[in-house]
Amino acid sequence: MSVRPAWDDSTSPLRRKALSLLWGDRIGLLIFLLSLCLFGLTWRTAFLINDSYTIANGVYALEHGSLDMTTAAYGPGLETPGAEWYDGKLFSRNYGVIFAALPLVYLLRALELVADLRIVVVAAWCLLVLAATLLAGRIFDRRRTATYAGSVAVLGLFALNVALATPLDPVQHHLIALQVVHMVGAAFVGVFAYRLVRELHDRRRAVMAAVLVTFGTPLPFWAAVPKRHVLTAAVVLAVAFAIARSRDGERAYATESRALAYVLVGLLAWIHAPEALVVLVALAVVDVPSAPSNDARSLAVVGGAFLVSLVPMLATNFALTGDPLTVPRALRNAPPDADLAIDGRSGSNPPADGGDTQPDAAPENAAFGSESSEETGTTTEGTGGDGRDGWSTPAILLLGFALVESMFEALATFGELLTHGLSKLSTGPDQVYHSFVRSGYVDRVARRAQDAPSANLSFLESAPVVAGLVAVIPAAWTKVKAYGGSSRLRPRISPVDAFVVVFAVCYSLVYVARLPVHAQVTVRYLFPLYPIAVYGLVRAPAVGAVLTRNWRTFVWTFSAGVLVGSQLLLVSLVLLAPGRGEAFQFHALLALGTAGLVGVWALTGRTAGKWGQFGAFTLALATAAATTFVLFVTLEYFVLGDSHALPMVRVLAELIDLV
Amino acid sequence: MDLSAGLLSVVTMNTERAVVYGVIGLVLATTLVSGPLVGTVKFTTAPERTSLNGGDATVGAVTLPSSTEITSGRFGSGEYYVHVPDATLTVANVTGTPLLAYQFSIPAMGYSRSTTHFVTSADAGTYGLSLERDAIEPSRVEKQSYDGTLSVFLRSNESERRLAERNVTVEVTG
Repeated sequence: MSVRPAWDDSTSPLRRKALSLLWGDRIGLLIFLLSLCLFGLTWRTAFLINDSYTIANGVYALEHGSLDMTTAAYGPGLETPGAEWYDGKLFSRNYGVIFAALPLVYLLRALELVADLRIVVVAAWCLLVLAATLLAGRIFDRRRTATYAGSVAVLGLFALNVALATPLDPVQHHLIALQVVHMVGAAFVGVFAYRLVRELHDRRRAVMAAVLVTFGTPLPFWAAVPKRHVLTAAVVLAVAFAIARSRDGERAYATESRALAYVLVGLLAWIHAPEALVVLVALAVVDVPSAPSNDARSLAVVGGAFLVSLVPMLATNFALTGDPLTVPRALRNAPPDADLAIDGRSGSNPPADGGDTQPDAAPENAAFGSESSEETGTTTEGTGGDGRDGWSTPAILLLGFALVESMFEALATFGELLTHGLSKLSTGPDQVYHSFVRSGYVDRVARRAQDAPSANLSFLESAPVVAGLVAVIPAAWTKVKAYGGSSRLRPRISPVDAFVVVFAVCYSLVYVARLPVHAQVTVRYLFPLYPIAVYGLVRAPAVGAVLTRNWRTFVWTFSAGVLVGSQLLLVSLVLLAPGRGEAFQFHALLALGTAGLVGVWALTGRTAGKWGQFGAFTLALATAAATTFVLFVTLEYFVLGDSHALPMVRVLAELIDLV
Repeated sequence: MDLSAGLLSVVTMNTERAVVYGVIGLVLATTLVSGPLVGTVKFTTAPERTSLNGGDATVGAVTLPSSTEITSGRFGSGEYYVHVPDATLTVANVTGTPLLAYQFSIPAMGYSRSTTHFVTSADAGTYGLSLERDAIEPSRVEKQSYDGTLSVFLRSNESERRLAERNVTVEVTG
């Protein structure tokens, strides 16, 4: 089978450049399209978490010409988690996605004039499927088969969905726009998993990385949820890719790639500044020492690009508070809803404080946002004041100083958070265990969760395939033996690996002090760690070798696991008649079982012959366990009033009635 | 030879292209037809809503379970579950859609839960009322057994009648 990943010769150079910038090659584009098709299947046009009300109301406000929210178009009211008072006005959060969603709102309104929105959704999904089929046909050199089979399949799917269609809830434009933005971002998780691994390994391993990250983690579940988690994950992978791409100074666009990494971080800051800061720290720590050159020119390009990328955030700050240097709490802090993190009080907060169903937006303390600086570790009120006093100094310098000062303040709180995280490891190891390994019944989580106290899985239970990371133990052992303890031959760590490790450690430490909390389902705060873990997994020599060589075993086992396994699971759940918490824990135990198998195989570190097949088998089972969980969540546990975007999925969900 | 092969490939290319554009055109045309511009065609139909409380039925032979239980969650889920077996009754002479409500309460715990069933004429005969397993926090369960009350109501034409009531013992196990 010949594979043609390169763009067509007939593609114009400009178009080819644009395509390459985003997707790398045709396979990257195919991963993107297929991811969107998958997310379409799990898409429900309803609110999963009440934080999303805040963002949807923010889009509504922006569409009506203001940044502050005055009308609660969605949810029980305006003071939903994440909404922040500043100077008597109530602001939303994640302004980056709010601005990104706005054009889509206009598009939806325009489409509604000429078509039924439900049919638009169905048509868009069907055309995506068609595009993916045609592209696959070109890649695998089966154009005719793909054209005819794809056309017939798409017509069938379209007819089926139109026949089953019901009207879309008419008031949800803002939500749908946000969901589309997040789904597109989520689709880049798979794309950049592929492109990142492709920089370092062969194509097959890279494709397997995309497969694992899409099916072996809860990515499809979070894709359509307007929360930053998938976007942070995509940015982290893209930054890692940019690092890999830019280490060779001779390569075309090396400096540009490096600059792009910072630009992405700057844009992420517009969505969620504290998480962007974690990425920035990991990026700067690794990038500067390992860059091919740190001469004035490249530093100017990189630094300039980064500053420019901060402009949207600064401009939003200016619009919110009248001062670009006053970083409002709404952007820099995660308020009492535990959503992080960079806020000075984190130590004094009760550690269980957190989660989304919490109604306390605390208007009485927040109404005086500018005065409550003790809890806004990153506001730069003082700096702003200095600027107004000393007009003799050039404004640009002041801006620079203020940014630096703001940066240092943020870094100080960041350091504090890391310390809290570290102390949590010693003071609450059981809670760390609940977050990462086995969830079960966690009292402080259950107290705040309403109807399903134990419906929150741990990291490993959500993505059992990451158990394969223990493969680094035998690999390291072999290396240590080979080097015979000689310190001169210390193995070199590649910059990308260093970035990934620094990011993973900082990110976990920042969040771990507050976990576990409720309303997480799959430890969503740690979501960016899933693709990172998959990257590490695929990089591990034993896992990589097995995925490349025994990929057929993987594909067959995975397909059987999802198609047959999910039906067996359905039958057992019908017989067991569990409550929702019990059903979640049943999935959890199943996942841990598969994780155990993966772990045992990975510890042996063997890849030859039958061992290789066994390895692929265990990895596929673990991946299938995660996919099955997402499937059941979509069809059964969180149907959200049967609001599935695709009518055929809705009908399937209506047929299944378990808990 | 070359010419005919080339010609053939051009023809197949064109057929392929025609098929793809045909599918895209059909999908887009259907989407346009679905819209307000073409008023007569409507593809999306809202599910019929059953009108509330309109109707009546003759209900007889209500059988309520003799015991209910609270069990601790399986699979390490930790919380407790209230398990109430189904109640059965017979339905006849249904007009409209009356409602049947099945309620269970444990006064000492401040616990109450009910489900509502819409009855239509298709449901004539023996009818089962069920209550889903319901999770409660372990801290609320303090005793080995509780007194509970099961009841079945019929809501018809804006009046509510209690058809049956039974006091049961709630055993706490596990």
